[in-house]
Amino acid sequence: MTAREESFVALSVLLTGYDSVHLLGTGMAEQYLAILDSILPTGMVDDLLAAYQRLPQGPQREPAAAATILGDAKLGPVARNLIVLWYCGSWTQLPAAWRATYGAAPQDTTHAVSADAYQAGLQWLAAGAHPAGAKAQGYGAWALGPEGR
Amino acid sequence: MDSSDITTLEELKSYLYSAMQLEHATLPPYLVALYSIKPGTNLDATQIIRVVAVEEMLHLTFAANLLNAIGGEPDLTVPGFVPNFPTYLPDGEQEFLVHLAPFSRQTIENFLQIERPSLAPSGVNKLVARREHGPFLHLGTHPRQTTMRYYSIGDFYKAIEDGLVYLEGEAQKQGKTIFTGDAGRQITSQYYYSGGGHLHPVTDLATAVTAIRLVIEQGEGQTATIYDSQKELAHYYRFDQLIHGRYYRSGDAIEHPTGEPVSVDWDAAYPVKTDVKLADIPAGSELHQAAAAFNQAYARFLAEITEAYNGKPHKLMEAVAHMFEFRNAMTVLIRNPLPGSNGLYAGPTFEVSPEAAGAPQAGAESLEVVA
Repeated sequence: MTAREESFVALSVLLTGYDSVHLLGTGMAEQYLAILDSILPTGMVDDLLAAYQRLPQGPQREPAAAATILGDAKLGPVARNLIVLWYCGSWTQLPAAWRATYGAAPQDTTHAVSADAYQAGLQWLAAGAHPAGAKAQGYGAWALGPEGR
Repeated sequence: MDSSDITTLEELKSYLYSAMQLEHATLPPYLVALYSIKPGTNLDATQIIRVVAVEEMLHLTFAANLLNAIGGEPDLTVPGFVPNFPTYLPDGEQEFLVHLAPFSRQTIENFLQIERPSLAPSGVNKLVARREHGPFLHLGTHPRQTTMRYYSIGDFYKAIEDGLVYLEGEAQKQGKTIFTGDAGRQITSQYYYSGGGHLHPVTDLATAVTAIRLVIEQGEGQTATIYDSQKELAHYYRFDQLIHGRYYRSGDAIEHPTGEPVSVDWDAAYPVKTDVKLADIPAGSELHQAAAAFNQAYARFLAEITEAYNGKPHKLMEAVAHMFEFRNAMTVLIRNPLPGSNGLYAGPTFEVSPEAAGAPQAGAESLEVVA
């Protein structure tokens, strides 16, 4: 894994609340970073990663992330899109005002990334559920209670 | 009477326990290779390995049914039941190592060795002195003469079939039967749904022989035919299709499949470290915790199956659902880079007991307790 990929996964840990073992475990990290690179204007992914690297350690870390990443006019919508990407495996078109200011790439359309991304969505893990139509649990599993119950 | 023959019910029980151990031991290697395949690639290989793994589960259950039928108690939680990989298997005069390894041509060739049909040629002793390989488990070892092993897995199963016939014949002469087990302990298709074949209860010699032959035919095979009596391709030939890049079809000669092409991308797999151990993963890391948690989940799964095989067949359905859960846990481990290994990846270690884990790792052990 390159240092840039490592930095991307570390940022994603902060944004999603899942540890790096789970994020890498989806097998999607490389693909998601490539999607950001292909849709966002040149240099913006590195701006996002640099903003992450500048965050202080300790109790100020999360408030700082809320202010300098999620609260930032340019990086905020991108970071929120990245959260949706990890949880749902789909890309949401950036807001019209953002597109007008920073540029609209032709690939910036609302779309499911791939069948694998849909299955790898963190939403299923968070809900203790399974992606409909994939990751079969075995015959009769519907009669069993959800995990953790 | 040959020294390889089974002459007492206790011997037959220990052979059937060994059979369960053998059938189970193929699962970890098949699952690691299966889940190392990168998502969206190698669809043919995924299907081929998955089907074989499901059938190994079926064979394990058949062995449990046989053991239950003669009044035994299947126990998959005995320390040492799960081998500390690599493990040895017999292949005629030779012995070979079975590894936990990622999908590759070499790994599929290893699987072909596991499934290669062979019986000792007539005139050759069915028992061979086994070589000493230190702490590693030898599957196919003679249960009472531990310095000896069977020439092949086919010979091992043939000994069980002959033992069943012999002991039941002796019992019948006295108006008795060896099939005294509680029929309620039999696992049937009602409790285990799969495409691997019909799971019938074992209650007498006829059903016992049918069960053992199905295991032999689907698995290691003992005849030189590609298809078994149910017109299903034996495991060896399923894997062989990946090497040849072509499916077998009815009427094909051995080693010459002429069906549709099978597309294989040998490079589209995570390079899992071969026979990875917990001790290879930095102690205290999230990855180490995930690997240890998988081993605990796997130990629970074996305990659930044991419960199912001991009078609670309905528990098997739950165990199978949990099997699918740890599929997810396995893929997570396999997709994580292994720190300090020059680009290799982690994977499930299947160290479920202190015996299988070998000598305790002082550092790792204490951190695990804290976690």
